[in-house]
Amino acid sequence: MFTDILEGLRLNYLGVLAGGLVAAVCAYIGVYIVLKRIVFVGASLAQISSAGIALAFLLGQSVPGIAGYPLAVSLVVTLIGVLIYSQQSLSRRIPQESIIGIGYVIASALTLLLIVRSPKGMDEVKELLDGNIITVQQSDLMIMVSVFAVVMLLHLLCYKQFLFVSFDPEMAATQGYRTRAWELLFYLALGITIALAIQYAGLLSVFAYMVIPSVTGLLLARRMPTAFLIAIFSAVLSTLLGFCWALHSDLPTSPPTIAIAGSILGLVWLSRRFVREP
Amino acid sequence: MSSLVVFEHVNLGYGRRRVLTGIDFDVQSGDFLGIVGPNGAGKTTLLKAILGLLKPMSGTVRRSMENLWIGYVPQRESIDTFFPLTVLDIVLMGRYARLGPFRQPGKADREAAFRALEHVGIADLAHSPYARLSGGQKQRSLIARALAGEPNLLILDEPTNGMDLVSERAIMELVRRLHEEDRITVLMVSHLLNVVVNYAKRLAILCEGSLREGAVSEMITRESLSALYGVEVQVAQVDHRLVVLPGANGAEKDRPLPVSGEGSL
Repeated sequence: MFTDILEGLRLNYLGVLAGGLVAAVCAYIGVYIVLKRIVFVGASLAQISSAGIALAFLLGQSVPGIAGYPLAVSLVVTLIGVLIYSQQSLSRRIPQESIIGIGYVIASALTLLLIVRSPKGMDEVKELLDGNIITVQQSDLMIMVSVFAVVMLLHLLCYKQFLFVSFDPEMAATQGYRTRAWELLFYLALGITIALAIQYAGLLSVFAYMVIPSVTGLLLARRMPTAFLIAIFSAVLSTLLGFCWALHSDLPTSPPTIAIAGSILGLVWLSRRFVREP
Repeated sequence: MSSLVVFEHVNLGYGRRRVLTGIDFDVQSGDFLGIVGPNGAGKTTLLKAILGLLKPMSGTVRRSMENLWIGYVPQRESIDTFFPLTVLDIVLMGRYARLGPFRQPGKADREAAFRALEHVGIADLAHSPYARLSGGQKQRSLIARALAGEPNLLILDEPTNGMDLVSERAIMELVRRLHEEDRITVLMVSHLLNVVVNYAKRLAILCEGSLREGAVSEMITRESLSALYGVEVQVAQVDHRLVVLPGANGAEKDRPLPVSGEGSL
């Protein structure tokens, strides 16, 4: 059995690398998402990104060139979502969570409406949800490495700014930080990450990577760098074990990966409940 | 004495709603100014304008020194304890404005942070998680963060809110020491009149959309406070400390005077 699984991983090594990469980047950004209490912004942007992919499929029927670039269409649609969510003038009249909820349900309904008209129909819905990261090509992996490298470089260079503006925006503003500009930059990086990750890993996995390993990291860590490392480790470990399970049982990769990430979180939560810290 | 911040005929508010009208005052170098007023009087609005977070509807807010460094101590309840940060991590944030855009805190910044922690008496807690500190220790951490930036104006927003009497006294003595020994200009906003009057040199009282300011001795009289709050007020001295009390008929009114610690006098 183990030999078969290892052989499966070897044959699909590009997918394993891509899965690990998506898991690591989403888990890193997820720490901020959980801390900033914007988990549903992440979910909503993921859904908007899926609507963008569905739109690309539909437009591709009449304009064949577009069908080859679902990522570009998804990215444009996601960035429009980012700009709408970052408009503070909206949230003065409507509570922010209502705006997020409205964005989420409209994007979900739009995805279904667009996909119903596509020739593949519900198969596409399933693919959007589950993704097909195991089958990525080398060119896809190169795109992911390039884009995620830029996103992570931005996060590493601007760690101080993103942390300060997330933790204490008022104090940051008194120190001369342009908090709205930094927030917008954070959301743009988030939108780009989600749009790219959804394209390959699917809606369920991306949302799960952004929440579950991050909460695991935050439960265990006493400092931010440790929280990032634990979140990344937990996400990558879940991906590897999830892929093994999927290959062994002939399942899509998302559900086993999420089940394992959830189990790790459950174990950590239980250990925190029953083991006293020194 | 030079003025650090000057308000000239300033009207403040949000959208079209005006909260404060015709504000004229300044914060002078070496001053200890207390800004007091009942809840909803516009203390937070004035504070935001001083910090540069709120533009005036009309009038001018001028910062007189080119190198004015403000150390801001927010209400500790506004600090999110879910972030996994140590006391040192938080104090280092006070250095961020002095670093370049992409520079991370270095050895000199750590030394400055430790100096600030020693100054407020919690250097031993540098590596403790902020979330596990007591209310008084959290307040000291936030004061240390403000001091780490080596400010010439320290602004504290309700620093003793919700504290017991012992912690309240300790924090206020620390603020007094920073002002008297380190010659830091202090501006403190509080709704606790009895706390502020015993530490500040000058008092600015916000009431019904306007501001009156002067020396504490001028402002804290039975006549002026009774007129200002619209209820009878008594001013007494107990053990060389000023105590402001609502009079017998003042207590019957709808608007109690919030004057000191733990939600009471």
